[in-house]
Amino acid sequence: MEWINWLLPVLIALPLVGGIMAGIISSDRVRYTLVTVLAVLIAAGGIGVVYLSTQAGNGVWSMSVAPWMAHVGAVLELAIIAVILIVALKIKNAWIALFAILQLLGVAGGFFIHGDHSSSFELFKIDNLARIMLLVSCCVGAAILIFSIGYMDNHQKHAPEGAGSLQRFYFVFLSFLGLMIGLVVSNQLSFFSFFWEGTTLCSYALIGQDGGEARSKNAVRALLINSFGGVLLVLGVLALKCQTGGETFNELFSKSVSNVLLGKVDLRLMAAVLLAIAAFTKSALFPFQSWLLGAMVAPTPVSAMLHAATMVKAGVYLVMRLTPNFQSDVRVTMVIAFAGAITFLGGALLACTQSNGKRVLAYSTISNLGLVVACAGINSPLAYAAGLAIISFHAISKGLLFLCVGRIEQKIGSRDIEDMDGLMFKMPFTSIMILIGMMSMLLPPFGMLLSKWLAIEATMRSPFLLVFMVLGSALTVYFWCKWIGRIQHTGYHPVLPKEELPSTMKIALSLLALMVLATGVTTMLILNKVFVPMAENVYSSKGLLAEAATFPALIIFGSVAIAGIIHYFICWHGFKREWVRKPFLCGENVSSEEVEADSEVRSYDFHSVGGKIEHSHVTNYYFHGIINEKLVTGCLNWSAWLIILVLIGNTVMSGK
Amino acid sequence: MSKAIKKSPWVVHFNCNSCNGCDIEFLACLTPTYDVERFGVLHVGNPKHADVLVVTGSVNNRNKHVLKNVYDQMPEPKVVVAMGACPATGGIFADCYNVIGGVNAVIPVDVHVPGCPPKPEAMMDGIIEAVGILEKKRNGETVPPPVLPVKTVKGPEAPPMTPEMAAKIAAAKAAAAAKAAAAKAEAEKANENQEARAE
Amino acid sequence: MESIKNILSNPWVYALLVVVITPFIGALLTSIDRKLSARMQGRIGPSWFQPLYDVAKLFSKKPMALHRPQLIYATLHLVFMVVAVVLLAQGRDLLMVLFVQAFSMICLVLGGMSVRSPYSWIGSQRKIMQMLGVEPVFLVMILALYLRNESFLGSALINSANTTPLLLSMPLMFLAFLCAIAIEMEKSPFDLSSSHHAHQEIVKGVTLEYSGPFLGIIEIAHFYETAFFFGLMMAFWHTNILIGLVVAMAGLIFMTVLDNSFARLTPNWMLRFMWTVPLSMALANLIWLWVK
Repeated sequence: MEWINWLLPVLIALPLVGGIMAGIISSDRVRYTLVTVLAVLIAAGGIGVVYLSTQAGNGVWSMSVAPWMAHVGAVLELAIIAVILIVALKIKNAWIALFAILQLLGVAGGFFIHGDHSSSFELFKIDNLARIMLLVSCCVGAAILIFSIGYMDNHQKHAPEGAGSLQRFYFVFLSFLGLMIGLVVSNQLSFFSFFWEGTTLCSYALIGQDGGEARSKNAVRALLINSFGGVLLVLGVLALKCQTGGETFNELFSKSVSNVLLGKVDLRLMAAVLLAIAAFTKSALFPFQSWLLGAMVAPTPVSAMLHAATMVKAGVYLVMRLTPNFQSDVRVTMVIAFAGAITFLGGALLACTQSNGKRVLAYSTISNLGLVVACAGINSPLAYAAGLAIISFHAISKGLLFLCVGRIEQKIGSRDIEDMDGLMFKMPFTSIMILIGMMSMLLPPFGMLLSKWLAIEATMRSPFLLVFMVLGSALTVYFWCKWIGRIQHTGYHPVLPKEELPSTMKIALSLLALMVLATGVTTMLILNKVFVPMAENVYSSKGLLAEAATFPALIIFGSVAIAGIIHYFICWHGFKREWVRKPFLCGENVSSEEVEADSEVRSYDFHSVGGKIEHSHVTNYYFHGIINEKLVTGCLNWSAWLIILVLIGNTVMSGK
Repeated sequence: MSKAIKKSPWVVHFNCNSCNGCDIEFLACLTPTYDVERFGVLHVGNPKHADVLVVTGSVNNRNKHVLKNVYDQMPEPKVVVAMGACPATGGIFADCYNVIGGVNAVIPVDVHVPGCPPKPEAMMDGIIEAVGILEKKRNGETVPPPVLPVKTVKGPEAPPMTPEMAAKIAAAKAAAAAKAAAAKAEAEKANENQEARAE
Repeated sequence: MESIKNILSNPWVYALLVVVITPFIGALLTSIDRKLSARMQGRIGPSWFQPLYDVAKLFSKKPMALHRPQLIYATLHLVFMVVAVVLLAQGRDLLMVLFVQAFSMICLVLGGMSVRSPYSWIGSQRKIMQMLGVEPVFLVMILALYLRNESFLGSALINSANTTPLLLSMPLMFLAFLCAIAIEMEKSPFDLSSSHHAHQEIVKGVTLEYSGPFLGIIEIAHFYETAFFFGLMMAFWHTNILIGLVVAMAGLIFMTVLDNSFARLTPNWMLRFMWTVPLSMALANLIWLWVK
């Protein structure tokens, strides 16, 4: 019980202090050792905190502190906003400066509202949702940290002119993780805002890591959009303070306070909605998605960290935290569900039109975040369980995928899917890893599929929402299939070549792949024993998986296993060299002599007009000329803005 | 199992330099009048799914490797049917400078269907014959190659070139060139006349 | 008699029976299709056992392949298809049944993409476009069933107190479903991914590079698939098995007529058509059920 009281602050401080140390140390070797040690400690600490917190009574652990700590939080928040303001002045961006000043005013205004500043309050609180987030951030984050050692070492050798140093990178990168850990356990909104703004600032610094005009433009865009979210967050906190006088999540969710201020507006609900829209900016939902797409210019570990372990997950975490406490306001939560659903569909649709691997991943992330928000908005236990499952399974798979793409990019110098043609026999290890990652996004027994199944079953109540879900899930299959196909598109090779890669990368990728496989095999167990009880706990309902319990896991896995064994002995082990033939190319295949004579000629090339040897290559289908990315994005943005307006309007009108 | 192969011969048809006469007759087999599908024959478009390779036309230097590749890409057991006179011996093209001869020159033939072109009935008979051989091959029996009903394939060898012949050929070429030049001049003249008239 | 009934009610025996019998039903339906096309074209057509002969022949041929991974996908295609049929026969969660059927198709696509053959690659690309067109219709159909029965379970449909045949409560859905089946079973104008009559255009698309026993595996999977969709069509008149048979037979005949009277159209056209006409028909029916 007492251990955790110091373990948790240490866990938050560890990456922050480690970051400062990594920033000071000039020797690369020492820094890498430090990062490795930190990664192990963070993962261990995260698991330790989660374990210890479950020992508390009724599953929720919290830490109360003296009243004066609220002022500490406010000062910290002011400090970090001041830093943003300085950055804004330095890059001469009026909008960011305006947003920063608005935030400053908001926080300062909070001092004048007389609240309850005399009693102690709960600073940190760890419930089930926070536990899931802690596990995700610490474990996936640690794997990304380990990967970054090998990656950044190589990256720094070929870094463009004006790129930031490794010291700067690790200082920001480690702080980022620390702030994220703080974010998910904070119960007091000043501290929450501090961590929130901190991640914004770190993401700005990391996206601009490599210098250059395009990168700094994207970094500024990320800062701009997230500061806008920051303003909403501050306003939300202010509204809550006006209403209840307190500024912790407890007040936000307590239904006892119901004095109505400002005409007919229910300020408590208003605060929640403002927080939710702030979460949309963080999670890069439409219409705020552009910053996440721009963030692709950063080194790969940063993208992985943004997409899998931190940043965007913070937004959906906030929404998941909010909605179950507003079950009676169906009109508002339903609009939130729509905002998520349109992002789910839009992200999937645009992912189909992309040939840039990282952009496909980015759109797929956006799409999945939309699905989580939709699940949260549906606000039923089944949907909540699905949301929890998507957050965790998606984090692991996406972390793996991003790291693989980063590795591939370093090796082949391109992130285009078409250039990954036949990668299976150029970089077998990475290819197998990325294939595991992609298969886990769409095939059984992996978790993403089951969560999507749960999500669709949970959407039953509203057929209109369903159209989005149904179209979105069909499109998801499309772009993953194309990519998997491209990677394993190969000729016959009797043996796999050996792939050389730094051991840190190998370890990190194997770790993540292992996590994917382990959660894949035990998906049903995790769902039934972890996520469903959590959802039942939140909504205090029972037996919601009566249907899902009939999931025919035994039949599916049993038959696949039996067939797999038979197949192994007959077709894999019994495979003979003489079975191998060339592909059908209308009989114009090149001969074996021609292949041996010229190293450029492949066994699957063919004779074209005049006996010229040609290479057959068919690209994937990207809907060019049918779906215009700009146009579709524009339409989606407008609809998303409309939904946000409806959301605010509904909130204003909801006062009784 | 071994009977089944008799009931479902899938045929791939390869046109190897043919004049299209045999091809049209072969496609006629698919029409309602003949309907080969009642024997289970299916016309497939690629060798990987086929049991019977039907070749029409003679083999030349350009397409011999194509024929070989198509044959190699068929799964065992397989049979080859040479449809018409050309794939048997080279037919009337046998003496052409580029023609190698019949299909036998590149791949082993199991059934010859003579004719130029053969009747659809004869073609169907040929396929049925081939199916019998297919079953034997499936059972591991060796099938002797068919005997061609013709004696000689190529015409007499050309006599060796002598200096007189070379001179004769050169003279003939020169005469032909002169004739062509004269014709050209005449044509130009006529053209000029026409233009003059037009003016 | 009683003991036979007891044995049949054992879920394992039942599942085994389904696995064994279904391909024969599928083969019969395929030969009905072939025979009917032949008669429509004024031909006699193949023997009634032709599909079985074909498969038996394919298994008697020597194996041939491009590489190992290609074969895995053929096996998975069959396995998932069999599982989908078994789950359907057991009256499990219909959403999961259709998901499993979709995995089967995904495996076929991935198998086609794993080899270095341009035809096979184009066929796979078209196959996923077909899935893109078909999946929304299927999912909407399952959801309509949920609205009607308050359950995703197939068995709930049979046991439900509502005795109106499905066809009468969702006629538009049936039409949309027929379009979707025509795509899944590769009938003109939608036979895009494996132009199976005489292999024109892209030779044989996804299945081009499979031959011998491996093609046989895919053919068997196709039998299961045919029977699977036949079963789903029968479910549209679930109250009376005979009328159900008639309905499903009518659907099959409609498909054959469609196949014989249309030319192949383009994938883009197919996608536009599926996402407009059948999908909106299905949605209209869904909304009607919802309002009711």
